[in-house]
Amino acid sequence: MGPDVNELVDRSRDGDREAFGELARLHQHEVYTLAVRLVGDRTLAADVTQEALIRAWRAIGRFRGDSSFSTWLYRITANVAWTLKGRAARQRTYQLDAMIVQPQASDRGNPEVAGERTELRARLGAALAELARSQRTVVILKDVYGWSHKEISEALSISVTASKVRLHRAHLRLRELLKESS
Amino acid sequence: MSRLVNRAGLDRVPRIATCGLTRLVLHGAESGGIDLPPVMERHRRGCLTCQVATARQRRMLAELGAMRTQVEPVPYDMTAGLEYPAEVGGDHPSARRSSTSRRTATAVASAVSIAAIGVVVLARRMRSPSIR
Repeated sequence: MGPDVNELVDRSRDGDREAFGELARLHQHEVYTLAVRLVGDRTLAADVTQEALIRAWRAIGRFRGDSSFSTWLYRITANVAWTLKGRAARQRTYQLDAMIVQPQASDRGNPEVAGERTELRARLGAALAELARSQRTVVILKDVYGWSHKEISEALSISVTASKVRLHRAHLRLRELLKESS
Repeated sequence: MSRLVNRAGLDRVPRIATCGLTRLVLHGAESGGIDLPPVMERHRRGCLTCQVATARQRRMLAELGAMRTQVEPVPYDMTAGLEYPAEVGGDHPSARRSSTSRRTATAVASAVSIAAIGVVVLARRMRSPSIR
């Protein structure tokens, strides 16, 4: 049986560094995955992950438990990714391969379906990478992670309307890009 | 009706739904954000092109949703940075709380001292003759 996350959170709030280290170890893969999707660069994603974990440690005392710990941590990650990606935008080249997803185990049963899905995913990954940073962030948080527009607006410090508009534009652009690549 | 139209991002209720107009709001309808006005919904049900566009939209959203379960393994232990408290992790809220309370106590003590000095100065002035 794994460690109880709530207990680890409580201990972390009291300043128990080991408990927070355990929490971080449990969530680091998910945080890194979100970071890779948001920034599209694995090196920068590693920086985002580390920065997010450090910020989470500093802010754990303010975590009230209104949402789950993971949701709270993802919010910090999205915020850090938004900031760091903005800073790094002119310094680094964009890695398209970071968006390309691997076939899942569930696809292996039907090779034809698996092939189609893999192709669609690859095209979708490339299309996502082509989107503007602001649009890609909203698509990933809304369509991949299922956040509400309100949660996105809070994490990115934008209005709910801006979040909706970005998603609308992103969907239009994605559709265009998928059409071009098909 | 106007609320429905507003939610669909349109200025007014379209009398005739076209493929272009329907596809413009299709993604919103598919992701659950808006309701299609009835005239557009009827058009979508009867139009093969719009049905294909709907299917494509649904596949795209399904694939995006499926990405949620795919996890990228970290290239190295990301928690290593947390091992050095003095450099990065030392600023824990509990530590910060104590330093904040210390700062507050210092500020209050300073304010009290200044007030006391002020009272003494005032008392001396009141004791001295008002007209010299």
